Amino acid sequence: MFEQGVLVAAVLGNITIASFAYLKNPQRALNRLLALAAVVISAWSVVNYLSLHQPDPSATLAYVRVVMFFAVLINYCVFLLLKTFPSPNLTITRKAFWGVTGFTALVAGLALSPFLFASVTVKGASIQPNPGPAIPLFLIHTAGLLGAGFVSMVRKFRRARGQDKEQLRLVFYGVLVTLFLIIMSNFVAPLALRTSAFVGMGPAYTFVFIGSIAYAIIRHGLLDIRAAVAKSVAYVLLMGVLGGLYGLAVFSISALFFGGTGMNAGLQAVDVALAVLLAFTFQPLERLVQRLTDRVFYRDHYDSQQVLNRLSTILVLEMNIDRILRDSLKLLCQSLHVGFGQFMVFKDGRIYKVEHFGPLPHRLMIVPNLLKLDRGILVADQLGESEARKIMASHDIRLSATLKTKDELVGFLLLGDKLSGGIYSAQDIELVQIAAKELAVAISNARAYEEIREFNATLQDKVKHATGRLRTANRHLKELDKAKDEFISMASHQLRTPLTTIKGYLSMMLEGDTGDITETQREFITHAYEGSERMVALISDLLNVSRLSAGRFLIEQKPTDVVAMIADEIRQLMPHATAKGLYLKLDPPKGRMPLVDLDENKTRQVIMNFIDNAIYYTQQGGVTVRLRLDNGNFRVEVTDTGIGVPEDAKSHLFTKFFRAGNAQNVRPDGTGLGLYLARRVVYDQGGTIIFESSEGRGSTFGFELPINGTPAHAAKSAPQPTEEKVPTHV
Amino acid sequence: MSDTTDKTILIAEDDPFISRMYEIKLTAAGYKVMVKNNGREAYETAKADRPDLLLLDINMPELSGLEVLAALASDGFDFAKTPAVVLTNSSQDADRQKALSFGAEYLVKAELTPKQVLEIISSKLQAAEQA
Repeated sequence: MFEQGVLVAAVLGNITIASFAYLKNPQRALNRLLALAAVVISAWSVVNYLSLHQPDPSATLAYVRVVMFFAVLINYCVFLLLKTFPSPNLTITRKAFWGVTGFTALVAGLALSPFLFASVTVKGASIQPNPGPAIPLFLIHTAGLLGAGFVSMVRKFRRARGQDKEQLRLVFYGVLVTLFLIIMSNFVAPLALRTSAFVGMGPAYTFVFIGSIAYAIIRHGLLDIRAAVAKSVAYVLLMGVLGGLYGLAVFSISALFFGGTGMNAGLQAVDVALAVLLAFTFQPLERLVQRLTDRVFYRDHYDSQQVLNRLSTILVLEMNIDRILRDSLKLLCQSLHVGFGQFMVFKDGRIYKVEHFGPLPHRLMIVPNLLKLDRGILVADQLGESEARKIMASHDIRLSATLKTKDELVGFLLLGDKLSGGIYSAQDIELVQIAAKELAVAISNARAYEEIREFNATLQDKVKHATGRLRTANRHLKELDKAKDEFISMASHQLRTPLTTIKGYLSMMLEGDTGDITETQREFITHAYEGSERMVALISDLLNVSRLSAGRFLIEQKPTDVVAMIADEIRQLMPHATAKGLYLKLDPPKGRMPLVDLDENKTRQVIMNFIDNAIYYTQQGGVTVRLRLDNGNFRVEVTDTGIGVPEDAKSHLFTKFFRAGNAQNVRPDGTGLGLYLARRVVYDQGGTIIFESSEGRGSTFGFELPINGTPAHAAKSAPQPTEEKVPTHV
Repeated sequence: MSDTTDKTILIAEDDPFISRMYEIKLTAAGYKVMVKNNGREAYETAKADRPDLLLLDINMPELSGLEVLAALASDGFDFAKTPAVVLTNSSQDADRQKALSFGAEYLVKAELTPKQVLEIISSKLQAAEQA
């Protein structure tokens, strides 16, 4: 009853699957082949059963011949299936096809004839067919076809990638399991356990084979199949090992101790002992088998949480975008056992960074193609015929993951084939999904950081560039300044020559060299003469300023009678003071004034400038010039009762071209050079300027000079540390 | 002005307006005046006629006033006995230094009136006489 049950179930199952495969797509040769194989196997199963249950030897012989006939056909079908799969159409050449078909027809014909099995010998329940002369031919046919099919499949399996590989693997498992089961029940069981009870299971095993192929064709890509296959293989293996060991033990013990005779009490005891042993050995053996099968089926196993932890470590510790890309890509590719991986990172809609793992791709994705993959995680094998799939295929990409933050598309993670050739598992996809989110944020941050870094670098470059430009501009300005000084110097000389004539002749007229002149003439000529004098002074000032900036302002000191020098200046300026109704008096030092080392010309100009200014800016009262000898210093102070210097002008008073507001009103034609030069002359001789003033009440201008020449700090044409600020009283 | 003097003054000046101005002033003061408008003639006159004082411009044709001084110096001319006054509008320090190195007075024309020049010349001549 059991045998019939299995037979019926197997036949029904096979026929169902075959019909299903055929109806699913009758156009495909593969589906038709599968249906044919199922039918042939089913027929074989039925005839095989019948052959075992015939009452007389001649009927048995006839059935055995039919069994062999179908066996030949099964070999033929299996060969074609293995050769064709997973291609939907026959891949075998026409010539080979007809050759194999012809050979098969010959062997099948012989199988029905007495050449294969001449007769059968029936010994009780055992039926022993007696081989004929065609047996070697049958063996060659079987071994040849099955061997060729198997080799073809292994070769395809090694070349295959992705989905194809997974399908081939399934068929491979199917064949392997079927083979294993048949070996276990038809050889191991009868030999070791001395029972042919499992031989009847034969048809059920064919179901595994046909089932696996059908499954591969119809519902490929369902990933749990591997777990189911792994588990079933593990259990069958375990049972086989246990059964084998147990049976072998029983067999050998009974043979050794009881001489192979039937049951007795001793054997019962051995059975009990072995049962206990079995109970104890079951678990370790199960673990061992589990480990073995795991190694085969889950070679590329990994711990997702561990991978994610390591990824987080990289992303947290690293700020450099290049290193983030490199390290995380390496981690993912190695964990997922992927041969080739790539990051494409965007910035402003363009590809900003590309990172590779494994061999460089023969061509890079372009942005428009990438954007067509912007749909989360795409697995090529799970996509129907679509543009995205074509794009991925043309770049050998199996998995594409968009890296997206809340605001923007950061880039893509593209992965190639798994090294195993298998497809991406649910675990893989889940891992990539989580990693993609973390990567998007981290890459976005790193990119921003990189931008800031680049901006800083650019800024530094810009500053450097600007500094360079300023230097050039400064050099040009210096050249211009020099040219200006040279121009002033030259122009001044040219101006002086006609001025010499004007001033000279005017002075001679005033001196009476041209005879008597009227008072009016004298008055007019005096005006003209004074004008020329002012111009001479102006040119002199300009020249001195130009000399100062050209570094050619030299001080030449010699012992000078300062009292006589100042008295002379006062005498020359007296007419001006008198004309304005002002007093101009000298307050000489008590006692004798020694000779003072100074540059007479320049110092004389300074004093003249002070007195001239004092007269100019005073309307009432007058000017006192005070000379003193004080602690080895010669001091001169010119005090007036004039308009004074406004508070806000005091700090600028001694700077070049500066003129106080009230002074400008009184004397619009002033140059603003006099005090500037005065300070320079005094400073270069190691002296200090004296200046105090209150607006509206008068001022005191003066200086103090060491009697014995220039002290060390006042080297000739030394730069002036106090260009802008002058102490109001020293 | 003094009218009793037989001193001769050589004026080397290429600008006729200026040379005339000094000529008038010095002549009026009683000096004999020779005017030359280029450096070479001035040098030859100075050597040949032995004036009592040289009044030399710097920028002149043929020879500059400073070159005249240099040539005379190499001829063994004694500037202590025959004072030289460089009277110029070039106020370059190099020129000034050079003039001073020959023991010559260095004056800027525009800053002085002919009368002031006359006074300086007179005092120079007095000093030379005493020397």
